[in-house]
Amino acid sequence: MAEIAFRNVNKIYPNGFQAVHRLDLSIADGEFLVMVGPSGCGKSTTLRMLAGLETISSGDLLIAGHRVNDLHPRARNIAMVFQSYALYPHKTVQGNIEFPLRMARLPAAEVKTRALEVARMLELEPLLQRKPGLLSGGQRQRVAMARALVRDPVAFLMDEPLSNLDAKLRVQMRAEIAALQRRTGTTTVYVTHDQVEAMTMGDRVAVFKDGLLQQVDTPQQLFERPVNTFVAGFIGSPSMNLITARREPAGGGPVLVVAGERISLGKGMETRFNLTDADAERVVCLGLRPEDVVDPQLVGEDRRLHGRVALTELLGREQMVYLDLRDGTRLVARLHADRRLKAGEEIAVGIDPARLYLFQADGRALPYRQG
Amino acid sequence: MPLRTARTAPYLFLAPFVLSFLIFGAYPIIRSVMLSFYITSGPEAQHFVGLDNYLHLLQDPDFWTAVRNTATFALGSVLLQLPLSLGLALLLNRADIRGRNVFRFIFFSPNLMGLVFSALLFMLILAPRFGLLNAALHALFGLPSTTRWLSTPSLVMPALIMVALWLYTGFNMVYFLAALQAVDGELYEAATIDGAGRWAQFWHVTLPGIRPVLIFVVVLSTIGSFQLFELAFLLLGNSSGPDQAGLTIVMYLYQNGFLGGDLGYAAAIGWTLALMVLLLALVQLRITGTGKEAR
Amino acid sequence: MRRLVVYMLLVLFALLCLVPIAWLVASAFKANADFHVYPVVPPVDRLTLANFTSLFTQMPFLRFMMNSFFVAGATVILQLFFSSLGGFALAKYDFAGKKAVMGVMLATMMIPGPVLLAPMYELIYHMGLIDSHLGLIVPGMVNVFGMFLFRQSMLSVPDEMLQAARIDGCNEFQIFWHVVMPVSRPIVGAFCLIAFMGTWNSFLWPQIILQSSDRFTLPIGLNQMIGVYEADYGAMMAGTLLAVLPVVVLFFLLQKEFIAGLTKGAVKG
Ligand SMILES: Nc1ncnc2c1ncn2[C@@H]1O[C@H](COP(=O)(O)OP(=O)(O)O)[C@@H](O)[C@H]1O
Ligand SMILES: [Mg+2]
Repeated sequence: MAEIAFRNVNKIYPNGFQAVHRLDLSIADGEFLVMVGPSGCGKSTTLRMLAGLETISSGDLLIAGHRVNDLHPRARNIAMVFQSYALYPHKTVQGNIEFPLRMARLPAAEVKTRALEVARMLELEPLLQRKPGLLSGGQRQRVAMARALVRDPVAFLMDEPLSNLDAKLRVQMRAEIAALQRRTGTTTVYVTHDQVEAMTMGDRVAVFKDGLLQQVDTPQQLFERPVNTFVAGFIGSPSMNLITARREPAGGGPVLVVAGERISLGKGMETRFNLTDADAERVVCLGLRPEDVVDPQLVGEDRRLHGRVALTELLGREQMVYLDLRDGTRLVARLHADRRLKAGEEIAVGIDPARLYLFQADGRALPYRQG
Repeated sequence: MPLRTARTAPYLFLAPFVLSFLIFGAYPIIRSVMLSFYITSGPEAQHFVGLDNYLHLLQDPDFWTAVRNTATFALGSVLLQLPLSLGLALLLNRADIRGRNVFRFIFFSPNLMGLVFSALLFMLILAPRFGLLNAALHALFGLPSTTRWLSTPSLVMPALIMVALWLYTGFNMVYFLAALQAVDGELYEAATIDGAGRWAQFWHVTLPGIRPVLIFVVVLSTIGSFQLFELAFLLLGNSSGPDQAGLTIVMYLYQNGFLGGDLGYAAAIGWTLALMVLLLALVQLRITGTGKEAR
Repeated sequence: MRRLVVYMLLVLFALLCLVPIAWLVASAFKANADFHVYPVVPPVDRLTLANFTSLFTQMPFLRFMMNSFFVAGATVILQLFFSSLGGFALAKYDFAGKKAVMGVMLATMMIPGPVLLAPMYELIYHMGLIDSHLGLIVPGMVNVFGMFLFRQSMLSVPDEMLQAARIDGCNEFQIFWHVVMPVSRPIVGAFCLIAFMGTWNSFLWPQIILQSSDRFTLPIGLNQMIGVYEADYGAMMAGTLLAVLPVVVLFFLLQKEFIAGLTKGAVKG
């Protein structure tokens, strides 16, 4: 129906800056796709090209199989929620919601019913006659949503729609938007710099960096099988530890040298990788999420790292431990807090090969095991 | 900005303005330069004379009378109006003043009357015998009620300056008041803590704070004063008053161009006026040091 | 104590501002014979409406008024449309030649108006518009100051609002008409007031262009009346009073527009 596809799309701004590089991305009909990445990575640019607010320098943008590069936004039938909400200050809430329908020259009666319907869905009925200036941030956000929802658009675009709300409201609206999308089934492209938002809301998540699409996958796949160190470090909170490592040739399975200590990976079956000897040669970096650091008692002597506690932060039942390993490398571990650690204390931590991520010199992950 | 429609849109939006500007703004400017090299008799008959109009102007005693009168008016207006405007604005800006908006409106109200209708009103106010001014001066100070303000050469300019004072003082005050209100209040607090008295505060906080507006008003008032016409024309008529006491530059332009029919000479007067105004503005900006900052 | 002095100064100046206006009002109701008898204010029972009657029955005052309304109305509407649209283009679009356009306009603003009188007269003469209202309206369409006023104010309309309108199905002109103009209401009001006062009080150009008394605008007409109806001071003051009223009314109507901070709170949380 309304599949959206970027085909080798580039965006070069008039000042010569290339904000998007060779983007290939397909979004299925009805899908909730989240674009995430650090600020300035080209998410908004991509979204705005899709909306028709920004020209496409080269490549094709297809909606339902038609090339729409040169269509004015009004001809694309796309709805968008802006970060600033961009409500019309001179119109009432109702006027704002009705505006897209009026511009589409729908009959007055239908305009009214549809606006009321959406207002009811978003619990805006009591506010219909107010002007945006008199609404709270959350209410304005809803009006912006309503103005987009009322149209029955091909796709629903949102550029950081929650970033102007306070933390509590943000969590609440996150769930509401996701639920709303499931209900309407409208293709949605959602931009955020917040990976938690991305992981909790999206059917799939597209991770961008410096104008390059890094990986598009389900949240679970992103988490478990990041394609490179950037995605690995960006997804998940707190961030994954990325530590230099080197393969040491030895019998009885591959062994990594990490911070001057030897970690045995076992026969390879224990990791999430298809670890042939050839692959293991290429390992230069080891990824370990803080929560994946285990009690040294649970693993053998050959799977431990030692270090000195630099700092700890208590998080209720757990503690974040900042550990300086033998060669000074910093390792962050999330450990149980039944024994509070003190700065300066020497401790050992355990490494479970099954939870390791392994990366090559160019930052790419080693091939993951199938299935 | 995307897309073909959005690329052509600004040109379409600007087109009506630019077209009419070209016809009624740009063309007349160029044409005016050319005209000033001709002697004309009405719009049809023209005779090229090169720079003769300008050379003649420099030796034209009537023109210099006009310049002298205009300069007197400008000097008198600016020197009286602006200090008074600023003073009123300072009074109104005091924190302990109530009814600020009412005063501001009253001070502004002469401006609502407009130049032309004020002139018509003052024609009667300045009239001997039954005029309000003479009546008031007679009642308050026992002065004779027969003073002929507009037919005594030495009183013509003071009268014009007075009317302008009435008209524009409140108007300028509105600018000053807005500027004063925009000065950051914390600066005064800081200055007070630093031990600055009232006068020091005015000198070191207020004046620098309103400086851009001050310069703007000074320059605009001067430029405006040099284009004095309506007031003199309405109060004194075509004849520009006794002994040409009310002859202004624009009035002289009008007389030559539209009573005498020499559009070329009128254009030359116009450009000479433009040049004088430009030089004056530059001098004022130089004195106030505005140019230096821009660099 | 000091405060009292301040108030006294303020009130004194307020009186100086108001007394001439009050005298205008009183004179408008003063019989011509009473001007010499009561130079300040006549007793209440001597006030009369005769001046207004003669204004409308014996003099073409109504004609002047209609002419003024027509010329000012047409000029303001044309100026408003051209200036706001042009200002919008300069504020919210990037296009080749934008800098040049603005530079040229700014430069011409420096040139004093009287410079243009002679060539403009020639131009209007050749267009056959001497002694016509069009001869007043047409050259008055261009208001460079107004265009910069609109540009300046429209710069602060958020881009996202325009983009939202684009997404909501507006073409570029509809963005201007349905979003930018309504949002700019305060500046539109201010502009209308300034432009109206400008044309309503315009004297020199009409004085040059108009010849037949049935085309006169109020300033020209009233000034002419002094010569024709010598010493009818009462009618003159009545006429002046009526001539000033539209500006005053407009001022009070549009005063709200300055105050209403319409854009406030429409963008951001
Ligand atoms: N109009 C523009 N001209 C030039 N560079 C731009 C423009 N808009 C954005 N950029 C640059 O393009 C990059 C991507 O911007 P954007 O898509 O807004 O990033 P984000 O991912 O934070 O939404 C940034 O480096 C930004 O500075
Ligand atoms: Mg962005």
